[in-house]
Amino acid sequence: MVAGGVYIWPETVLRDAGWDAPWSVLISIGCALGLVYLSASWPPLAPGETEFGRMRTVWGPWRWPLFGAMLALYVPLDSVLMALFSHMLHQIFYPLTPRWIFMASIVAMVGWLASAPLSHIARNIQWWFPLIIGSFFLLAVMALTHFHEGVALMPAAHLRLWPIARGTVATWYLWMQGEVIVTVGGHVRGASWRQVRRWAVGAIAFQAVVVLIIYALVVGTLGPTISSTLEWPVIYIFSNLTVQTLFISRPSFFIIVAWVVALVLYLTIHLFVLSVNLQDGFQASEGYRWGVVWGLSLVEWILAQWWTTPLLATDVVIHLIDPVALALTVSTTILAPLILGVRRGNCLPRVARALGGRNSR
Amino acid sequence: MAILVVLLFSLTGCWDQRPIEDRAVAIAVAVSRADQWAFVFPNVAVTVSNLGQIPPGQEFYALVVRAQTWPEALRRLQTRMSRQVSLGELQILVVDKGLSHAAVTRIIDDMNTDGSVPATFWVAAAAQPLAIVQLTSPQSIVPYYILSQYFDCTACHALTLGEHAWQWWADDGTPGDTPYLPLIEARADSFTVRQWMVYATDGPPIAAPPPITEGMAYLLGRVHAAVLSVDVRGMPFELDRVQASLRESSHLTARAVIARIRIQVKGNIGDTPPHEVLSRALEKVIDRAAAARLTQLCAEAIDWTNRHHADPYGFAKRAAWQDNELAEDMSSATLSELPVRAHIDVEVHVQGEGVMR
Repeated sequence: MVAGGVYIWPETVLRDAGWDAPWSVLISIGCALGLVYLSASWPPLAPGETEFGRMRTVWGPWRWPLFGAMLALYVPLDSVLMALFSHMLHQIFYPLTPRWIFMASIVAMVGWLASAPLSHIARNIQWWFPLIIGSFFLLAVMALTHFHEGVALMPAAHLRLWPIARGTVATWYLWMQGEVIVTVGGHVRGASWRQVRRWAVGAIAFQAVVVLIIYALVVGTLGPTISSTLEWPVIYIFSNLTVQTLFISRPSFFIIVAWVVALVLYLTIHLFVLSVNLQDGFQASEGYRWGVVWGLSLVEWILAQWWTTPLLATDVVIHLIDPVALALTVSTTILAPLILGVRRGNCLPRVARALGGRNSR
Repeated sequence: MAILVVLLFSLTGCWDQRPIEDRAVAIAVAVSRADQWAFVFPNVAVTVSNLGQIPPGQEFYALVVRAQTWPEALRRLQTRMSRQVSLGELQILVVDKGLSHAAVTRIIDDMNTDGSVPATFWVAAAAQPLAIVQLTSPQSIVPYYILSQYFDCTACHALTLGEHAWQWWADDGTPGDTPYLPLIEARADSFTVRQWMVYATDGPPIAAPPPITEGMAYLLGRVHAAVLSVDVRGMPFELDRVQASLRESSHLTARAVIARIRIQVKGNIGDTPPHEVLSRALEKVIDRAAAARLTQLCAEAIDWTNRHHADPYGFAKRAAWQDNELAEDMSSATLSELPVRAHIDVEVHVQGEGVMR
C-alpha cells in the first residue's frame, strides 16, 4: 500500500508537523494498526461475500452513501497518485516524454490487471513483491552510508499539539488500503478471520517499518528543515547514491522498475476492490465488473489531467482527501462493530468476543 | 493486443532516447569571479585503440562562456555546441574562492533545482578555477578525471575534505549550520587540498589554515588515516593511521551553544626516535600526549570558528532540533553565529606494531 504515496513521503508530515513530525509518525502508525485490527474484527459477524455485502447488515440503506463516499475518496486519490507518479517520471527521468503517455500506459496496465480474477492479481503480487521490497532494501542499505544525523530523528522536547495533529492527518494517505482486507479477507482459502486479522496487522506493521526506514533515511541524511523543501525526498536520497565498482554508476535505476510495478499493483487492487463491491451491490455479471474497471480507469485518467503540478496534487491529497478519509475510516471502523452488536443484542460480550478473535470464522 | 500496441508506442525510449554520439557529456564546471563559466568535456576522438597516442592535454577540452547565472550559462553554452549538453554525469564544480556565500548558494541551488544534474557531484573552491578544471595528469586518463578521482578516493587521504553538492545544500539550508568547501591549490603541474573554505553567514568566505582544518576534521568525524606528531619528554614520535570517532551532544542557551564532545582515537606508532624501545608504559605516556595535542587542535578550531561566527560542526543545528521552543525565537543567522562553548574529551589508544611488539 505504501507504494501509492511513497514519492512524497515524508515531506508532507515535515511540512505540517515541523520538528514534531516524529510524534505524528508514531501516532499515525498506532492509529493505522488499531484501525486495521478493528476493521478485521466485525466482518465475521456480518454475512456477505464482499465488504459491500457485509455493509448491508451493518448500515442498512446507509450503505449506499457510505460506499459512495469511499468511491469519491479512492478514485480521486488514485488519480492524484497516478498524476504525481507521472510528474516524478517526467521531471526527473524522462523530460521529453509527455505526461499523458505515462498515465495512459499505467491506466492500460491497471485496467487489464484489475479485470482479471482475484487469484491472477494475487499471483502477480506474490511474484513482484519480493523484487520490489528487495530492491528497496538494497538501496536503503546503500543509502545508510549517508545517514549521519541521528539526533534529527529524536522528537522535539516541547510538544505542540496542533502541529502533531496536522502531521498525523497528513500521513493518512499512506494507510488508505482500499478496504482490501474487509473485501478479500473472507476469500483467503483455509484461513479464519482471526488468522486474516493477524496477517493484516502484520502487513501494516511491515508497512510501518518501510515508512520509518524512509523517514529515517531522508531526515537522518538531510535534516528535517531541508527535507521539507523537497517534493520527492526519497527519490533525491536514492539518486544521490553512486557506486564506483560496478558497470553502472547509479544504482537508483533499480528502484524505477520496481516502483512502476508497485504503483500499478496498488492501483489495480483499489480498482479490483471497488469493482467487485459494486458488482456485489448490484448483483451484476462479470461483464459489468469489467465495465466498472475500465470506466473507473478512464475517470481516473481524466481526473489526473487536472492535477497539473505536483504541488497541487500533493495539496489535494494532504488537505482534502486525508482529513475526510481519516474521519470516515475512524467513524465507520469504530461504529461498525458497535452497531452490529446492538442489532444482534447482547452488544458488549459479542463485540468483545469479536475483538478478542474467539468464535470467529 | 490493443494494450500491447498502446504500450509499444508509449515506451519512453521512443521519446527520451539520445544516442551517446549526440551528447556532449560535461564532467566538470568552473565558475570565476568574472562571471566566466568553463565546461569540461572528454574528447570524443579518444577511443580505446588510440588512447595511448593522444597527449594528456588533449583528452579533455573546455568551453568558456560568460554568464551571471547557471541557466544563462547553459543557454550560452548550448549555442556553441553541435551536440546536446548532458549534465547527468557531472563530477565536480569548482568555484572561485573569492565568490561570496550568496553567489555559491545561488549556483548550487540553481543546479539542484535544475533536475537534470544529480547532486552527487563534488564541489570545491580554488583561486584559479578555470585553470584548475583544465588540469590534466598522467595519473588519470580519459574517461577518468583527476579532480573527481581525487575526492572519490576517500581511503587515500588522511582527512576526508570532499563535499558533495547535496551536502553543501543541506548544510547551507539548515539554520545553525555553516557550509564549507575544500580549497584546491595549484602546485606546479599538479594540485593539493589541505584546507577548508568556511562560508559564514556574514562576510567573505575564509580559508581555514591547515592546522585549523585538521582540528575541524576531528570535530566533524572526517579523520580516517591521519598522521600526528607528538613530543614526549623532548623526543618526537610520529603516529600514523590515526582514526577518530566522534560522539557529541549539544544544548542551546540564549547566548551560546554548549557542546560536549568525546573523541576516541586509535593509531599506530609509526616512527620513534632511534634506540627508543617502546613499552606499554611509554605507550600510555604517548596516549596522554596525543590526547592533549588533539584537545588543543580541536579547541583552536572552535576558537577560530567562533571568531568568524561560524558553526561548520552543526552543534547549534542539533541543539535547535531538540529545543524547538528556544530555537523558534532565533533567526537562522543568529543560530549559526552563536558561539560554541565546548567541553572536549579526547581518549587516545596507540600501539607500536610489528617487530617492536
